[in-house]
This record gives sequence, C-alpha cells and structure tokens, in this order.
Amino acid sequence: MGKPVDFAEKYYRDGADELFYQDVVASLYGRNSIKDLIKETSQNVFIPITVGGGVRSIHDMHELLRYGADKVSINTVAINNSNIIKEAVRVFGSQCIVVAIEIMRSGISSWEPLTMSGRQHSRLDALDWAKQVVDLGAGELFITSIENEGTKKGFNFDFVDQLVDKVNVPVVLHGGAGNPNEVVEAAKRGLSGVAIASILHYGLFTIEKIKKELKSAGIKIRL
Amino acid sequence: MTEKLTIVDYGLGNLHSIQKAIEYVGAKTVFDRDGTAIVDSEKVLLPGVGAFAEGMKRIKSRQQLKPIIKFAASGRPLLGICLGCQMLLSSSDEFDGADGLGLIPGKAIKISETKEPIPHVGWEALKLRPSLSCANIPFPSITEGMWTYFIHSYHAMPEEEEYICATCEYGESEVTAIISKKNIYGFQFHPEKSGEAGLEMIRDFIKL
Repeated sequence: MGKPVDFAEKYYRDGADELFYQDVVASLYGRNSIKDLIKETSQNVFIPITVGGGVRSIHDMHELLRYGADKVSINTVAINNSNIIKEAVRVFGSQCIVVAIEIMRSGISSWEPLTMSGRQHSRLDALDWAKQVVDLGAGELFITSIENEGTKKGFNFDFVDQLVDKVNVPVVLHGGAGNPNEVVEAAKRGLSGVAIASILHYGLFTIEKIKKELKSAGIKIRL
Repeated sequence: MTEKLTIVDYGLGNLHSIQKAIEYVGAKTVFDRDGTAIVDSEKVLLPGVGAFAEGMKRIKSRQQLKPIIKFAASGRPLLGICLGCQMLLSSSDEFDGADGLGLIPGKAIKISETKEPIPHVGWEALKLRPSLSCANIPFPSITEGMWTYFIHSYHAMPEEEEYICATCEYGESEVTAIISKKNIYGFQFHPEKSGEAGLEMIRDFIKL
C-alpha cells in the first residue's frame, strides 16, 4: 500500500489525535524492526504514538519508548505472564502500558482473548481478563474484534458495552469502522477512542470528515 | 547567545520525541546522563514518562539532583514536562510516596475521584488562570482553549494557588495543566505531542 511513515505523516497533517502502530505478525517471527519505523515517524509527527506487536520484555518496552513511542501495547506476553504488566507499570507508569485484547466470540455473550495475532486460544474469558489486567495496573485497553477487523461493516459494540462500566481506564475500540456515524456511536457509548485503519488507508473517508461529524453530534473534539 | 538546551536523560521517557520536536523548531539539544552538562546550560528540560519514585531514584543515581537544583537557582529557564512537571514539586503521593526536587512547594496528587477513566489520556482545551505568578509567563503562544495532549494519573497541586497558570476540565475534576514559579515552568501535558500548537510552545521556550 505504501510506506507506513508516509501514512503516518499524512494522518498527522489531517488531524489524527494519535497513531497506533501494530506490527501484526511480530510475535510470530520474533522481529524488532519496528523501532526504525518509530524513529523515522517521530521526526515529523508530533502526536502520541502507541506501538504494539512483538513486545516480549521490559527491555523491549524501554527500547520502544526511547525510539519515540509514547505507549507500548502488549498482548501475547501479558497472557503468557501477567506479572509483566505489574512490573511494566512499576517502571513506566500505568499511562504507558496498553493491554491489547483481541477478542473472538466464544458464546452468546462471552468472548475469548486470542494471542499470536489471533492464532492461539487463551482459554480465558475476555471480560475477566480485562478486569484482571486493569487490576494489575494496565492504563488503557485496546480492544480489537477479530471478526470485524478489516470488514468496514461496523464496530462490535457487544463486548465493550459490557466492559466500559466495569473498568475505569480508557477503552479504545478497533475493528470494523465503516463510516463516520459509527465513530459518533462509539463516542456516545463511553469509549475513549476508536482506532480506524481501513477506511482511512483506502481513502474512503478523511479524518477531517469524521471529526466534523463528531463535533456536530456535540462531542468535544480537537479540530 | 548559544542555544544550548540540555535534556535531562535519567533513563526513563520519550527522549527521542522531545529531542525531535526541539530540533524541528530549530534548536540544538544536548543530553545529560551524569549531571555534568546541566549547570552550564542555557536552558534545561526535564522530560518524563514513568513513575515518580523511579524517576527520582534514577535522577539521584545519575548524580543529576544537585545540578538541577543548582541550575534552577541560577534563574535560567527550567521546563518540566509531564512527570518532569510533577518532579518539580516537593513530593508525590504515587505508590508509597516519594520526595521530589522541591523547586515549587506542593505535591503531585492523584486526579480526584471522577467517573472518568484514570489515567487521564487525551486532548483537552486549556483554561488559563492569570494569577500574579503567571501573569508574565513567557509563552506567548499559549492561549485560552488551545488543545493539548495529556497522559497521566497524577497532577501537580502546588501549595499556593497562584503557581497554577492553567488547568483543564476532566469530567467534574479540574486538572492542573501548567505551573510556574519564577524561572521554573511545568507542563502536565506533552507539548511535543500536541501537534502544531505544542511546537509553538516549544518555540517559545527556545526563544526565552
């Protein structure tokens, strides 16, 4: 599609409030090249950057932050060893530690977090897991609905509707944004943010258009 | 005048971002990692992401504590950002509590009970408080309602109200955004992450 850094700079100029880099297959291949991407991005982009994918240790987090990330997002490593959340919070503070939860429906109103880019089952309940990571100090939850991701058919609000009342940290929803109205809907449901990829990457809507919709719906937003 | 701006590197935080923002607006930066570069600087910037006690511990172990205090007494500009802003104070309630640099009397306290999520993460519009101590704050780009990016759970609560120059609303809470006492300035938000508006504030700082 092009270079990620070019997209990043365009979104910055267009008024994005935050960038989220997700190296989707990093855990599978054990790679770390995203550091160079962060370094390059932060030359010209002056909004927060959250980086996830393949973070395996406190040392990795340290490196990402030094290269220009503001927050690090962890999934697989947290499920394998939840103590790392506590340790990371002690060193970097809660605000720095995002736990990404990739959910797959496992029952009528239950969801399972998956790891390794959606390839591995955790056998956990996503709602219990979310509460647990918040208790351990995670400062933000980044929820991806795997079934919705890339579909542009709308967000999955079922899980986050249950979640937002039970945790007192920001919840960002990702997966399925198809148009600005759905973003307005997300804001009205008490979500702190939404992550949008496909409709921006393919140029279907601009950030400006989405933010104008939010503003005209009465939501406080930086234009 | 040389534009020697020293960034205190105590081993925590997004040094790359703040360095890039300063270079972007046209100033050179030096990192201090052992306390030796601070005292002779024109300006010092104390960045910060992380936990208060951990930050102070590292500042002490890198021999930076005394040089920062000495620099602050010189009357030259010292700007603390986020955790760096909180560390300007006497102490913090975070975890089991810890002493700070003590340059502005007061302490870092948790954002008061609110229905809103903690940490407070996101963009907020500044509300200026033109107190006596802040009337001459040398940042002309800072204006009422300007949007800045916050990411924190604690905020500065100086002993004297007049050291608070700006706040923002967060749910029903009022959060301290800018503190100042003489040549000491603290931004709770991240100017280096607040888009063009934030870059303007950094421009103001390098012009001081």
